[in-house]
Amino acid sequence: MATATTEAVPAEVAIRRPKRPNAFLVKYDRYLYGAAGLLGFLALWWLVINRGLIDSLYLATPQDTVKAFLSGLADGSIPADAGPSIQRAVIGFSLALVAGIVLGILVGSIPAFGKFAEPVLLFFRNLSLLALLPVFVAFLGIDEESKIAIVVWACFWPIFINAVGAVGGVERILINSARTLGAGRLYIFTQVVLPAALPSFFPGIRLAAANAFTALVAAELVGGAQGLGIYINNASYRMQTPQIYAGILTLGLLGVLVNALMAGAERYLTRWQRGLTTR
Amino acid sequence: MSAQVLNRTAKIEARNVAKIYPDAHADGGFHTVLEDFDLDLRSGEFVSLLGPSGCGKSTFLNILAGLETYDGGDVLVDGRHVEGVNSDVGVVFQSYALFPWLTAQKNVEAGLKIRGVPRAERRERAAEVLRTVGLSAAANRLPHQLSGGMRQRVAIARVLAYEPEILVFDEPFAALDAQTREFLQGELLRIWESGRTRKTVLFVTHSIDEAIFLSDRIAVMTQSPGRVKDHIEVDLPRPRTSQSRSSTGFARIRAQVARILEEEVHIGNGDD
Repeated sequence: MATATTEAVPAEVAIRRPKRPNAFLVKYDRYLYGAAGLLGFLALWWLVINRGLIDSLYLATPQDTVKAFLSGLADGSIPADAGPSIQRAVIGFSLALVAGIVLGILVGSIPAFGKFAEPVLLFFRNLSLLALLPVFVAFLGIDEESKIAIVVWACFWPIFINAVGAVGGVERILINSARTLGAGRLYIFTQVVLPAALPSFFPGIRLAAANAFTALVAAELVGGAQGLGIYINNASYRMQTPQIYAGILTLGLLGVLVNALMAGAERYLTRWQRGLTTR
Repeated sequence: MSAQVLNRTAKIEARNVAKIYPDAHADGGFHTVLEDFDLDLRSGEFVSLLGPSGCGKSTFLNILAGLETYDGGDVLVDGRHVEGVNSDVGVVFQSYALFPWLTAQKNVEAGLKIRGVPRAERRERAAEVLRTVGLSAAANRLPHQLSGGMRQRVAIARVLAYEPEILVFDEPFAALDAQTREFLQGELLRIWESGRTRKTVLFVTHSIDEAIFLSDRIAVMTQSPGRVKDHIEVDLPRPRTSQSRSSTGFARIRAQVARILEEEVHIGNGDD
């Protein structure tokens, strides 16, 4: 009976249904993996303390860290220190962004400028920020100015160096075609070179955003009244281990936030490239 | 001084133009791209500059557009020396050179925006020109969402929009497939013939058929150092259609041009 039916409609047998991918897995794939990785990390963290491999005096447990973080948020001590830090980072980063891109386009598009600047730039681009800390403090003290200046310094270089290269990569023919359309220098600068180089600016800008907080915490550890670096430092003087890690957690979360903001900005500003590149 | 003795009736005049590039590998450390290059274009004339690759035809086009300097002779537009970019000369490049972050419409508006044309007028004019080139439906698409032929039509529209008196084309259809190329050649003629005033056109190409189909006159160039070797009048009637391509006149001119070019390639190879 069964064989008879199969022979009667062979076409139906031949058709194999395409295997449909699991819609849920496709959509949430990266989140599932990410969540599993995060859980594994937390478990490992908890385990090393729980098994007595590391003394809780040096490393607070995840639950103590979160508890300290939440109570820090509730009593306002973390926001009180995070606020000034964020402000410094944003001001310093913004100044560096404008200076880095404007100077980067100038040096990148005017060959004479590039030749003049090259040896000096080679010297400064990889100079350790920590070595320069005392210099900044000597000139600007330990108040806002020196902290912001350090952030500017740390953010400027990646943006600037990257912008110089990006401008060099702008196709000559785009500039020529703008010139034949009657464009002047300012138009070419703002309407051709800037948008053409913008996608290539982003690696530098993202690196700078990450640098901003690194440099800032280093500057805050030197001294000052408020800031996340100071919060962490004070907690360590008082042997408040959970608070130390709560401060670190805050910095980590800020980093995630900054990265998301940068990725969003990049997606928005280079939206014309969608479908053109593999991103 | 020399400008005063030159012919006043020509729209474009090039006399004894020379262009030399520094080249460490060449004899004497330089390479002569153009030498004794002469070419006149009357107002409203469509001239093709035809020659083997590397003969310097694009170099002359860039000089005329003011994108490159020249090292001798005179290049005049309306009796005035070309110094820097002349915005009365509109250029269409082989690789389209559209701004990839702007839609077709905004690309077409660019030249008008630079000239400070108000937004509303700019839009209207761009829409009109896009209609002329048959791309109204693609106005809001980005260049990478268009085919090669469509991109080149946007590039032509961008130049037409601000109405320069002279149009120069640098092998604009070289990167396109044969059908699209023939279609766009027909389109180009239609647009050129329908203009309120006939624009003066210099069309650089290495395709004999393209030069014949489009031009009033073909200037054939020599191998490097480049200069104009011969002029061939194309006396085929206008408006030209795809039938023009199979006419006996077309075949006769093609044979004539091919003979001149063949000699050139022989001499070029003999030199090497």
